[in-house]
Formats: sequence, C-alpha cells, structure tokens
Amino acid sequence: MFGAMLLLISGLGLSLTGCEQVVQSEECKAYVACLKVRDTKLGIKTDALRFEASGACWGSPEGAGLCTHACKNGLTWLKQTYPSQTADCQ
Amino acid sequence: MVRKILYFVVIFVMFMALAQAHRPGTLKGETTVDNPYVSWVFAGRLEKGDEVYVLKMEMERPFATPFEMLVGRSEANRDFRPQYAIVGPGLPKPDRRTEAILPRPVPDGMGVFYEAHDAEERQVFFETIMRRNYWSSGTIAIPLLKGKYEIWVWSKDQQKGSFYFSFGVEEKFDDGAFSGIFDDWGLYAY
Repeated sequence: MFGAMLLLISGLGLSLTGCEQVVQSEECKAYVACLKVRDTKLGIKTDALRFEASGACWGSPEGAGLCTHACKNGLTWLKQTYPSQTADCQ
Repeated sequence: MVRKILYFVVIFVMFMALAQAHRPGTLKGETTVDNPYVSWVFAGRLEKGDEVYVLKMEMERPFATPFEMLVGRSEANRDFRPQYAIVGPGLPKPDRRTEAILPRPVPDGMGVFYEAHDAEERQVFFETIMRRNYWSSGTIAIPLLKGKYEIWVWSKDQQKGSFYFSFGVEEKFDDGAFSGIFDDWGLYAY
C-alpha cells in the first residue's frame, strides 16, 4: 500500500513537472543581446547558448531562476566593466 | 527489502530527472577542469584558513557561463564568506585595492573578476539532489575568451569551513561522474 502510494506520488510529480513551461527570461534576453553587441565590437563570437531561448537554462524552474540571477548580475557587471563595448546595450 | 530498494531507486532517479545537478569534484591544491563547458561543483574545505585553491581550465572558444560560491546554510557558516577570483585574458586589470586582497600577483597581460562575497543579503539556494540549503555569493554570468584561466579560492580573513564552488549549466553524467559525491560524502552531506 505504502509502495503504491509512493509510486503514484512520484508519477504525479513527474507529470506535473513535465507540464511546466519554462521560457527564457527577460534578464537573459538582455544579457545575450548585450554580449552580441560586445562580440561585434571585439570581432568574436561568444558561446552563450545556455542563456538563449533554446538553451539548457530553461529545463526547470530551479535552473531558470539561477540563470536569471546570473544574467541580471552579469549584465550589470558587463556594463560597469566594459562601458565602451556595451554602450549600445539596453 | 527488494521492494524498498526499488522504491529508493525510483525516487532517486526521479530527483535526478527533475533536478538540475552539477558534476561533482573536489578542490585540493591545484585541480584541472577537463571539460569546462559543462556544469561543475567543486567541494573544498579551508582547514587552516590560509589555503589558496586553484582550478585551472583552458577555453577553446569564447564562452559565457554562471559562477557562484556556496556555503552550507547553518549557524556555523553565518559569517563564513570565502572569496574567489577568475584570472585570465579579457578580464579587467585589478585596481590597487583588489590587488591587495588577491592571494597572488596577477600574471602580466591577465585580468581578474573578483567576487568579494560581501553582499549584505545572501541568496539562499535549495539543492534538490542532496536536499541541502546553501548561501550563495550570488550567481553571475561571466564571458570568458579563448585561453587559459585560473580560479583562485581562498578566505581573505583566514576563515575556516567547507565551501562549494560551482559553475556552468549543461549537465553531463553519462560517464558515471555522479560517483564523485560518494568519494567525498563528508563534504557534500554536511
């Protein structure tokens, strides 16, 4: 009985999580866009795939939250550290 | 008994499937990261307080990824705030104040991202595999250029304690890397 309930709860948990949609945050959209601005000035191409709309950041709410914090802090740091390279960032 | 083990395996696999997990490693002296493009957590312990741990990695292409320092959320760690610095090409030259805090001189031509770990309010992170709460220095996405980088981990105030330095997003466990947790169980199951 206990085992059946446990499996039922596990299955329910998996189903509910499977239904949850996690999409790219505005913070990471801004971070990726700013990196592209900087890349153009430096003539490089930075691999920022994980933060992009199809990236690994958006597989779970937990991961999405961490990436969103990372992008928000990263964008602030980018703008403060490289003002001339990020002048055109929003 | 067999059924209980089966249930445990089902629950563990369920958590593995749902949770975002870092590849575990241990930071002792100097450690080289063989694949810096996937997510890692390096557990370490400042036993004397004056240690400087070094993570070495070589980027084959410009790559942006999140970094953060975690400590277990417990009363003993309330004031424990170890620092880290990313040292390598493309990062800004440190100012004199930062230079004085860094545990080593920055090599010529290299720059630094320094995490002071001094935010008044610390972000709390619940890690769903080991079911532990951590205080975070605040995760931050840093773009690295192609080249060799070092990450220095130390305590500027010679504090002692266990820390977990993590970076990356993409998971890679297909080579059994998760067993690293069991190799250093005492550090992870604080």
